[in-house]
Amino acid sequence: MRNERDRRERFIEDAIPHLRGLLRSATRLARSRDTAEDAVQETFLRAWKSFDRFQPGTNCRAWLYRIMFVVLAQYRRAQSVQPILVDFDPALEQAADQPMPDVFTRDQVAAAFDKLPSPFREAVLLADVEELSYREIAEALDIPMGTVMSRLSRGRRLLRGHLRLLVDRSAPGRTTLKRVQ
Amino acid sequence: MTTPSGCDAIRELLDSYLGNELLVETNHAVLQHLTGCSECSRELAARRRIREFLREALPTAPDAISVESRVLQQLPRRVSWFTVRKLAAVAALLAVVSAAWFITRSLRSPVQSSPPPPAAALLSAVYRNTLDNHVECGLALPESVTFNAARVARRLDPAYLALVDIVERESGPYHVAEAHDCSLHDTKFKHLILRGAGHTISVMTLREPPSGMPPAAVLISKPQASDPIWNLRDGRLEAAASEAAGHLTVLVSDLDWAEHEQLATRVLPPVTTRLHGMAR
Repeated sequence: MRNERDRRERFIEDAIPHLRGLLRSATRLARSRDTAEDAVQETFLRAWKSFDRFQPGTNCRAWLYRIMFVVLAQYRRAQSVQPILVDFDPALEQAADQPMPDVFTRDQVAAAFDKLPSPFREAVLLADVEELSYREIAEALDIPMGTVMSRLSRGRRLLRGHLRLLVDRSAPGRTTLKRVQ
Repeated sequence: MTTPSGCDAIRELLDSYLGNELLVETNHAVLQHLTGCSECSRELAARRRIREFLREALPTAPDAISVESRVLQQLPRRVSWFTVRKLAAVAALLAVVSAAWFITRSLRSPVQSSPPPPAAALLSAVYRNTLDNHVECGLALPESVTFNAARVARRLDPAYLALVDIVERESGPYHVAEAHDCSLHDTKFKHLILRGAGHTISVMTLREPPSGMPPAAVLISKPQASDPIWNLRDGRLEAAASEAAGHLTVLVSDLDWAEHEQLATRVLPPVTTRLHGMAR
């Protein structure tokens, strides 16, 4: 009984403080608050069931993220929402090669981020928003470090490309040339 | 002058540079390049801004409390008879302390000059630090700063993040504008700054308060006219403190006494409960 109480207290101390961060990430990744809340709740209940296998002193946050990505992947499969395949888009690649625009808005950054395919969105979110290290991301996504670095590199490049295209499209002085008879 | 290939190579590294993921030598090379290349410096500034905007654009997860409570409800809660008896004893002690405090207070006029209660005397050094920190950190927070979950998550010890939700929920018209770790006079604080209706309120938690703390008691003290710090803002600065699980939490405000007392009795007990939950 004492062990059970200690286990509960340890879980509340080690795992619960990360709930808010996970919910924030899940909301952005699942694009639905309800799905995100369900996923995070299920993540913590799964974490509780296997908490005996968690090694105290190791990275609890990365461990929780790893469980959450498994849950989210299952939700995606259940909803038949498959990750978008990354097609080669010459316009996007060209935009990514250009220097960054000097002026852009928060909404444009958010819109560009939402255009990223899931694997890249997850890597960029964990690195640039939640500030996990490469090693923590590798642990959270259950992928090798090299894959983390290539996903981040590609994800950030795509993000810049989408942002450039969004900024160019919304430029006030932009005119469309039309053939005049 | 920097060659274009040099710029290309450096731009490949800029994101890793921002994430502190470069080796010391590579980091140095990037820094050196940036000092002489305005194009790459501008690129770095834009990428930094993208990250800031991404953090700000993320939802602040306002439903974290309900998800957290649903999770906690589903964890098995087996409590031994030993714990039940201990809790009953603490409850009885609290009841006695509270009754004594209310009786003492009702016998004393709020404006009457009387010596500080012994508990407040014991805590005066700690209070002084927390009041100083409220003035130097809480009141110094620029008006333009509003709550940003990503910034708070970076600046506050993650173990104490849950306090933000608790304090926000219990504070009525006042809202958390900032929460961070800070220190003053060698005392480290988990500092939550609230604003609302023209008032600034600090909730400060510090670990390992000095010995001599009365156990499991909630102390609410009135400012003393003899203490210049307490007299800040026409003597209207009020402080309330609670002690739990090796922590002392002090709420400082410039509200009038009744309102301050009401806020303190709403905010401090759930904070205390949470700190007990955090203790091993």
